[in-house]
Amino acid sequence: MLEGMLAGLGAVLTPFNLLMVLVGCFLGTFIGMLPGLGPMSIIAIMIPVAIQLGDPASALILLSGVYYGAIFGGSTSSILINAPGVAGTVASSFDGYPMARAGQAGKALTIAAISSFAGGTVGVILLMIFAPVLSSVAKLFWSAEYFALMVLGLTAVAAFAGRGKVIKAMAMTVFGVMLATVGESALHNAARFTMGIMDLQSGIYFVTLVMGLFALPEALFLVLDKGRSESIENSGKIENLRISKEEAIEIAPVIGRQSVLGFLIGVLPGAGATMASFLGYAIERNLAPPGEREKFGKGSIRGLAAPETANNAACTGSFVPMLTLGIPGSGTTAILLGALIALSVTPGPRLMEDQPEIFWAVIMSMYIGNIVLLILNLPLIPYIAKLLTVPRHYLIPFVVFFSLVGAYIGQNNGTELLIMIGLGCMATLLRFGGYPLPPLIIGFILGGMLEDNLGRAMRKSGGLEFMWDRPMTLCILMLAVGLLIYPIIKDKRQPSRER
Amino acid sequence: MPFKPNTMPLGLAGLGILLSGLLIISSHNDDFVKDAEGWRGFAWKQAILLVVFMVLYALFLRMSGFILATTLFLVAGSRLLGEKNYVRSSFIGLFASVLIWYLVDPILGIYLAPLPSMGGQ
Repeated sequence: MLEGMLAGLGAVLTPFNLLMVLVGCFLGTFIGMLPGLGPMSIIAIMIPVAIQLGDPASALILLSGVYYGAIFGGSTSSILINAPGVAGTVASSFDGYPMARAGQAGKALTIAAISSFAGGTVGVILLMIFAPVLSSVAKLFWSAEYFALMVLGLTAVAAFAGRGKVIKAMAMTVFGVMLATVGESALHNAARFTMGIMDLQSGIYFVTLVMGLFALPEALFLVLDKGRSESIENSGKIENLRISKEEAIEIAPVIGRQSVLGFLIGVLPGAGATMASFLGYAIERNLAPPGEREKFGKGSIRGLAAPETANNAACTGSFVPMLTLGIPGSGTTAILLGALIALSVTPGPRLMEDQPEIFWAVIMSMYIGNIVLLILNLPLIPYIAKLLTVPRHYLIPFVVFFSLVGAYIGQNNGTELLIMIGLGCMATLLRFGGYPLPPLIIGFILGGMLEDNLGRAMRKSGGLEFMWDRPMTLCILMLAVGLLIYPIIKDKRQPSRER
Repeated sequence: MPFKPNTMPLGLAGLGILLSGLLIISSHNDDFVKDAEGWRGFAWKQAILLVVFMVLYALFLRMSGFILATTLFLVAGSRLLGEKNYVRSSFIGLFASVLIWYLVDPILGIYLAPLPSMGGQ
């Protein structure tokens, strides 16, 4: 393990890769601050650039930097203008925004940065411990177990979708897998659902789908809902970034608890940063002394530190199933997995053995990304925040333009853009209907591998017997069925109060 | 049971039908009516026009070259969303399109026809 870590550190510490970490963190923060643009959209926009770098380690280092930067940027817009870019930073605005309104924007940003750094750092240490263990267990798996694991991953994503949304999330997952069947099947070389369009022969281009599902609908929502983008111009001034020793002592235990809890939640497929941040907030509110509890929601530093720490630790935790099993636990890791596949890297248990430099470079780049965010980005925040004053009539056309160019430069083909626009309109309508989109992208990414492993397992066992022939496959599949049925029954039993 | 190219699509179709049925059974008409009320205040006209601009951009990008198509798209998009100063939007659009073209073509080495005469290759 030490050898691998040193190799990873060696890969990251080249001048070019360090530059990629810097550029990634800076761009991620810069774009992530724009309300509505979450890490998924930003990573999607950066994928064509990363692919062009050629070297998988550099590409991943850039994308990891973008990811961390985007999370930090999202927290910044949450705190400054109460406009969280993603669901994961919503809880940060509960206390961060009241602090900013009370003239403590600088302090709130410092607490957010320190908590994120600590959460990310503890997460990386836990990742270094957990990933190799899980990797060695996963080596015992063959295609039947992989198929079962993928089914488990897909059902878990749907199961954690939230009350009343389980069936919609399942439908989106199935739709994602359906989209993955477009084009030539890997096992048979038979074209499917191409409708005579040559460009669909090799399937739907991953970047086109991601841009269409995430970046374009964000832009269209900013156009549709004027209030959402107009709040941008009301950001406050950031002056004092310092926090006192007493405040540091007060948030230290919160950070410690939430780092571990956030990481563990992040490892669960589908749970992710949103659940971790809300749960972290709720737990710390309950643990706080009565006088302190009253401050929650009005500018409590504990209330800000808890979701920020849990959010970042969960983001790191979500890398565990992606790197060790090749199964993404969240929409963002699904996009990163797609980028890895585009770079001819196959994540899974063999990644650590076959390409240890890539495996460890990703982990080390996360750590360095955290340091870069703390040391370089924090002092730059007052300047980067000026971006929040970009008028919407420029912001929106540029977001659309970057999405279109991102899909175009990979393929140089107008049809790709038309497919993307169609997907964008469809995704906007789906969002209106309350259909979650991350399950769709996870279904799409896993779809090809799911079919591949199902095909192999069926060929080997001569049918569907593989599902009950091997105890491990059967156990995983039963767990998947349980995960799927439990929330539906729970929803049915408790008459919804939300409706 | 052999595994054929249509095995997976058929299975997915079955699942899709099942889930669609479940969605229809479990949907609440009131929710839709309530949501539809909220949609009325949205700027639908602007959003649809922006989509039309995107489609035009996609159709004419290859023919008109990257710089011209992008500048026109950015000018039209910003005008649609409230920019009244054509000179400023043209300058910003041209500057951005030349900058992105320069980053993509000469620096990253991805061919991107910049002008109409160089398009259609």
